[in-house]
Amino acid sequence: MSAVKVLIVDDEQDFATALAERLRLRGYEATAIFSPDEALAMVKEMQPDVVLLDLRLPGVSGIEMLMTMREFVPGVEIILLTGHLDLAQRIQGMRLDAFEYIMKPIEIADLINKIEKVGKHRDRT
Amino acid sequence: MTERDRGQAADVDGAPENALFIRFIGRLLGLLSHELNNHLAILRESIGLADDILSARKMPEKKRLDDVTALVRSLDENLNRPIAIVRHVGDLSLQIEQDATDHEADLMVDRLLSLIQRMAIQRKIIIRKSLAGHSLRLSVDPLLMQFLLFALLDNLYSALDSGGRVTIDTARKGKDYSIHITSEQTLRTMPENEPWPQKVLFDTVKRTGGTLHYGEGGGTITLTFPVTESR
Repeated sequence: MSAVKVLIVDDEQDFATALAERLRLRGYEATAIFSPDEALAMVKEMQPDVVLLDLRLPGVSGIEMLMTMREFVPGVEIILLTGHLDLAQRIQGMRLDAFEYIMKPIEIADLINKIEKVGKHRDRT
Repeated sequence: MTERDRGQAADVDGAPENALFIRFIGRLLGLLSHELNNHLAILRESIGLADDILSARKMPEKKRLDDVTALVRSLDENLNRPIAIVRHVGDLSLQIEQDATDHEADLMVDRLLSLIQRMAIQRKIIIRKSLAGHSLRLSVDPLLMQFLLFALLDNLYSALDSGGRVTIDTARKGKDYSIHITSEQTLRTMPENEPWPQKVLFDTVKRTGGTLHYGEGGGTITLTFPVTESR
């Protein structure tokens, strides 16, 4: 069973870098990207199993990014990262088939559970 | 859009609509909580990573020490902005409680700009500010002035594409204190799509005894308030 590939897309570089390292220490293949343009290129190149996507990226909405990523990699599971989740965003995310939401600051155990769910789903299909 | 002087156009109705003023406070709180939350997320991940590294027995001792040392230093740096935000919020609270005429104009402008800088960053807009540095007192309630400045900037940002530069200058011009906002970019949004209605802004400005002018295309804005005294 190959390691789950996780792409983190967040403009807060210290946050994304630390989180990627924490996931690598736990055996995941994790990469942190800080800009929307680089993220789209990396999604195509890396073909991640999971994308942790910040809902509030500078200059572009996370929901727009989600839609674009789905076009590039239709099977990718997307976990939306947010500091604040209102009902409208939740409904929009569900309509666009976001796999999960996770609130910042993150509880690492909660994130691992969600990633593992993706991994099990991947291995069954 | 031709150059307009609409400062004289609206009848003064009284205080700005309370709902909009409360919305301003709500927006401010939202911006600050979002930014503080981002820093808390950084701190949590950094502390968590330090803990993970210390627990990683297979990692060479020197690398563990070097990595944790680097993390501790970055943690300290990442505390700077939250500390600044908390100080500004504390100052804002004191400002609201104190006598409305006992505030330096540039300080009030700078306080607001410091609190809302994330708003520009989110849109990839670079802010260049040039404050006159005069110790001017104004007759206007500083929170009203900050509301107007916030609303004008929010309208402006919503009319700009991502990126670009906005310059904010203050100056003393005769008996007035002026705040001049200039956008390098051409605006793309029509006035009816603005977050803050023009009528309320003009009514509020007129109530303060000040004026509001828009330049050609709406990309330059000049807000003035009467000065009460200077040191």
